[in-house]
Amino acid sequence: MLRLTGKAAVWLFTALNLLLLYWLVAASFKTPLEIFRDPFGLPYTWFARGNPFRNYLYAWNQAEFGHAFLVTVVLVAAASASIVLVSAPAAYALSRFGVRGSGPLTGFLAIGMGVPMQTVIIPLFVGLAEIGLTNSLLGLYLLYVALSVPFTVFLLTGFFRTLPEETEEAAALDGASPLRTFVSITLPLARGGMVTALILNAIGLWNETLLAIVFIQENSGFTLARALFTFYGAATYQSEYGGLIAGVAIVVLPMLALYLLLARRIIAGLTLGAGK
Amino acid sequence: MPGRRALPGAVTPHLRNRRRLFWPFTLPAIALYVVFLVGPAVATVALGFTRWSGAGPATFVGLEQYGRLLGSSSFRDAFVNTLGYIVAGGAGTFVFAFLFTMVLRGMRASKTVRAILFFPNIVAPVALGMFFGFVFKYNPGRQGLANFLLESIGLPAAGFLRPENVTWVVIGALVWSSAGFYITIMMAAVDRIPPYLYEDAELCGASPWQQFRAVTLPLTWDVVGIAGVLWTIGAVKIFEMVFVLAGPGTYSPPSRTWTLAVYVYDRSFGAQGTPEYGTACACAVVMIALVTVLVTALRRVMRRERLEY
Amino acid sequence: MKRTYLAVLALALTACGAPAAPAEDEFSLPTAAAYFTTACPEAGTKPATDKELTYWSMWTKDEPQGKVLRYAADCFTRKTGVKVTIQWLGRGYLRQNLLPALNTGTVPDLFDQDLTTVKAAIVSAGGTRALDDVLSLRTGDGTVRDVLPAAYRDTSAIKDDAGRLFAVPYIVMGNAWWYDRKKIPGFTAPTTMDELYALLGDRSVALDGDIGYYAAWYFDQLAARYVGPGGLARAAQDPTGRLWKSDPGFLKAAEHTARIATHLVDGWDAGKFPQIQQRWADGDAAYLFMGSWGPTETREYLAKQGGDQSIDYGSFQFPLPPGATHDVIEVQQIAFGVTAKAKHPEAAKAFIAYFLTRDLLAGMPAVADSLTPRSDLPVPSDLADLKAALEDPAKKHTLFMDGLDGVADGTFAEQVFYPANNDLLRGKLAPAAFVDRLATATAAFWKTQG
Repeated sequence: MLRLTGKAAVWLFTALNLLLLYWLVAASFKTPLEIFRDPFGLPYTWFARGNPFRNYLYAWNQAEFGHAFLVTVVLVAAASASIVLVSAPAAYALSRFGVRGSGPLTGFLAIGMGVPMQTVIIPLFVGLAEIGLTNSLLGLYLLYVALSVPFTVFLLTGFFRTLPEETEEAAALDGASPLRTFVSITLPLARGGMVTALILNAIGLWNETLLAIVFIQENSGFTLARALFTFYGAATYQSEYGGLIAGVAIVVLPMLALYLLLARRIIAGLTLGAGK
Repeated sequence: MPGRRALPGAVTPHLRNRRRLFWPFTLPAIALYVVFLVGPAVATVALGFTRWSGAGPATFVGLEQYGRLLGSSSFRDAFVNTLGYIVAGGAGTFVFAFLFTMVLRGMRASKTVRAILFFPNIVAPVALGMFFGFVFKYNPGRQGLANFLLESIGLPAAGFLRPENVTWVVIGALVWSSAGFYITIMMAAVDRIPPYLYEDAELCGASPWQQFRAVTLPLTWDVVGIAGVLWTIGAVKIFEMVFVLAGPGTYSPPSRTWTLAVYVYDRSFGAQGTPEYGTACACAVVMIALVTVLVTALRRVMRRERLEY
Repeated sequence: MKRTYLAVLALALTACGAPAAPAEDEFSLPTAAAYFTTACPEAGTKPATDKELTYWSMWTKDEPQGKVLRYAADCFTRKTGVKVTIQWLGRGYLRQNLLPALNTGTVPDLFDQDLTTVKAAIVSAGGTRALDDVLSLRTGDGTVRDVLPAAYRDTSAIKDDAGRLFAVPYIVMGNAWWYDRKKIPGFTAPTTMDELYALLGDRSVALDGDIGYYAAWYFDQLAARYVGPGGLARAAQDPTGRLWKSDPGFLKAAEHTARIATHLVDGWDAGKFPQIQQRWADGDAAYLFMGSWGPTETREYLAKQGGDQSIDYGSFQFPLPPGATHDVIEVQQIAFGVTAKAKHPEAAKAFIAYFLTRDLLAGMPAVADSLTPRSDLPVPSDLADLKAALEDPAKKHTLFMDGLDGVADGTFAEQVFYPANNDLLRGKLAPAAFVDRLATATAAFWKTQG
C-alpha cells in the first residue's frame, strides 16, 4: 500500500517536472493571452501570423540576448578551461605526491566551498575597482577562475585518488620525467574526471548571476544571466511576457541540451564528492 | 586506496622527483585561492568593525555594526528566514529524498526518473525564480499554472505570493528544485547496499518504512551527514530565487522576505543610497559564523548518532 | 485660459487624422512615426572639445522613451559631431549599476532617473555636479532657463542641500485616479470623500501591492492634504517619532486609507507587478491610482495581448478630505544628471540643452505619451485631465510621497513605512495602531541609524 502511494507520488512528481518543462517551452512561443488563458494548449497566434519565433527574436535582438549569448559562451569556455588547467596539477600533487601536509592543505582549500560568495564580494569589488578590473570581462573571468578553484580541486583530488599508480611507476622506471609522466600518462587517464570538472564548472558559470550583476555595468559585457536579470525589470514594465519567457528559455535550453547529452556524467560528477 | 601506497619510509627516487614539482603544481591554485577568497574573507571580517561607504577612509567603530544589526528588524527577519530556509527547506528536501529512496529502489525506469528529477539543479536560480513567479501568480481569469490547476480540480485559487506566504513558496520551490540532487546522492548510496539485506528484510515481512529504518538509513548515514552539510552550505547563500520570486524584480523584495544574502546585497550593491559596506560585512560575518556553527553541530550530531548502529 | 487651450487641444488630438489647422504659434504634435523622420533641429550649444559622451539610461532600447532618446542622440551626433554611447539599463540600474560604479573608473557622463532617487542615491554620495550653468545654455530654441518654467526648476526637490541644481528635468509626472471614460459615461469627479467612496464601489480599486511605493500613495496623498507639503517628511525625520501622533491629520488620513483599502480588488496583495494594473486594463477593476505613466504601460499591455481592447483614459485627483486644508498635487520629474567624475561634462550638458529643444522633446508626448516641463508642447489626450490639475493655481505642488521614499537614502520607507502601510491596507493594523506603530518604529529606526 505504502509502496503504491509512494510510486504514485514519484510518478506525479516526475510528471510535474515534465509538465513545467513543456509549459516553459510552449509559453516561449505564445502571446501573453495564450500563456495565461490556455497554459497547456499549443501555441498558435504567432504561428498563424507567420512569425513563430517572434518572442525569441525579441529577446535575441531587443533585449540583446544575442550578444550576451556570445559573451557567455566565450567567457564560460575560457574560464572553465582555465579552472581545470590550474586545478588539475594542484589536485594531482595534493593527492598523489605524498607530501606531508597535503591532507590539511586539501582541507584548507575545501573550506572555500563553504564560504558564501556574499562574504567576499565587497573586498573583491573594492580590490578590482582599484586596479580597473570592474566592468571588465577580464575581471569577471579572473573571479570565475579563482572562485571555482576549491570545488574543482576537491573534485579532482577525489578523482586522481581512484587512478591506478602502476602505469605511472612503469613510466618512471622507463626514465620519463615526472612532468612528462603527468602530461603523457596521468592526464590521458584522468581525462574523464577533467571533462566532468569542465562540464560542471561550465554549468555553474553559465548560471552565475550575482557576480555578473555586481561586477558588470555596461550592456556590452552582460552575460546571459545578467541580461535576464535586467530584462526582467524592463519586461514587466512593457508587459513583454513572451519575450521574457523566451529569455528564460534561452538560458535554460542550452543546459537542457547539454544535459540530454551528458546527464549521466553530470549527475555522477556533481554527486561524486558526497557519494564516496 | 591505491593512491596511498607511498609510505614515508619508502620514498622512491621517482617519488622524490615528483615532490620537486609539488609547489609548481599547487602554487597557482593556492595563490588564486588566497588572493581571491582567503584575503577577502579576512578583509570582510575587518570591515565589519568599521563604518565605510566605499569612498574615503573607513572609520573603526568596534562592535557598533553588530549592534545595528541586532536593532534592525529587517536583519532579524533575514536571519529568521535564513534559518527557516535551512531547517524547513532541509526537512522538506530530506523527507522527499528519503521517501523517494524507499520507492525508487528496485523500480524500473529509476534512472530515467532520477535524471528528470535532477534537471532543475542545473538551471539558473534566477531563471527558476522568474519561472515560479509565473507559476504562482494569482489573477482571476489569467491564473498562473498553480492556481489554474487548483481551479481546474474545483479548489479555490490561493494567494501564494502574499508576503506572509511567499517565504513558504520559495521554500517549496527550493525543495522542488534541489530534491533531485539529494535523491541522486542518496540513491547512489542505496545502490551500493547489498540487495540481499533488503531481500532478507522482505522475507521477515518488513514494510518499506521498516526496511528504510533498519537497512537504508543506518547504511547511508555517512552520506546523509554529508548531504546535510551540503544543504546547509547551499541554503545559507540563497539569493537570486528570493530576490526575483519574492519581489517585483526591479526593487528589493519586501524586507520581511529577506535572507542574509539579500541583506548583504541590499546594504552594499543594491543600496538605495550610500552603501553601508561596514553593515554589509558584519552581516557577511554572521553568515560565515552561521555556516560554521551549523556545520560543526551537524557533524557532531551525525557522528554521535552513528555510534548507535 | 490654460484650461480652454488644453480642452481644444485634447479635442484636436482625439480627432486623430483630421488635419486640424493649428494656430500660427501653436505647435501640433507629430504622429509617432512622423516624429522619427522630422529633420534634426540645429544645436544651440556645441561642445568645444568633447568628441564623445556616455549616457546610462533608465529606459530600455525598445521602450518609446528609449527610442525618442536614441533619435535625439543620433541627431546630436549629426549636428555636433559628438558620438553618444548609450547603455540601456532599465529602472533598477541606478542602484545596481551606477551607485557601485561611482567608486570605480567606469562612470557615465550622463544619467537619468526621478529626482528623489537621484538625490537619495547619487547626490547624497557626492556623485553629481552642479548644473546651474546649464540653465544659461542654448537649446535649439531659447535658453534652458527660457523653456523650463520656474515651477519645474526652482523647487527644493531639484536642488542639493547647498541650493545648487543637481539635475535638469525632461519629463513631468503626476499621479491620479485613472478610469476608462467609455465604461463610465457621465462621470463627474468626486469632490468629497463620501462621493469618492460611493464611486469606488465594491472591490473596484486595482493596486500592485508588491510595490511598496504604489501602496503608499493613498495614505501619503491624504496625509499631505491634512499636514501640508513637507509634513510627512518632517514626521519621518523626527528622531522621537512623536510627530506622527501629535498631528491628528495622520490618524485621520489613516482612517480614510483603511476605508479605501476595503475597496481594493481581490488578490491585490498576491500579485506580481504589473499584473494588477493589467487587471484594471482588462476591466476587472474600475479604478487605478497610478502615476502618469499608467496609460503608457497599460496601452502597451493591451497592444501586446493581441486583443483589440482599448481604453479612453480619464483621471481625477483625491478630493479634499473633511477637515483638511491643503489642496496639494503631487509632482515628480525625470531628469538628467551629470556625474562628478564625468569625463565629458561639456558634451553631457550640451546634450541636455539639445534634448530640451521643442521639436525633439515633442517625442515624449508624441511617442511616449508623457508630460514634459515645456509649456509650449501639446499634451497627449490621455493626460489632459492630469495636466489641467497640475496647472490649477489653487493646487500646491508637492513632491511624490513628500520625498519620504528618499529619507535616509530610502531605507526609512523600506524598513518603517512600507511594512506598516501594508499592514494598514490589509486590515492587520487599525488606523490608531498604525499611527502608534509609525511612532515607535520611527524612533527605533533613528536610534539604530545613530
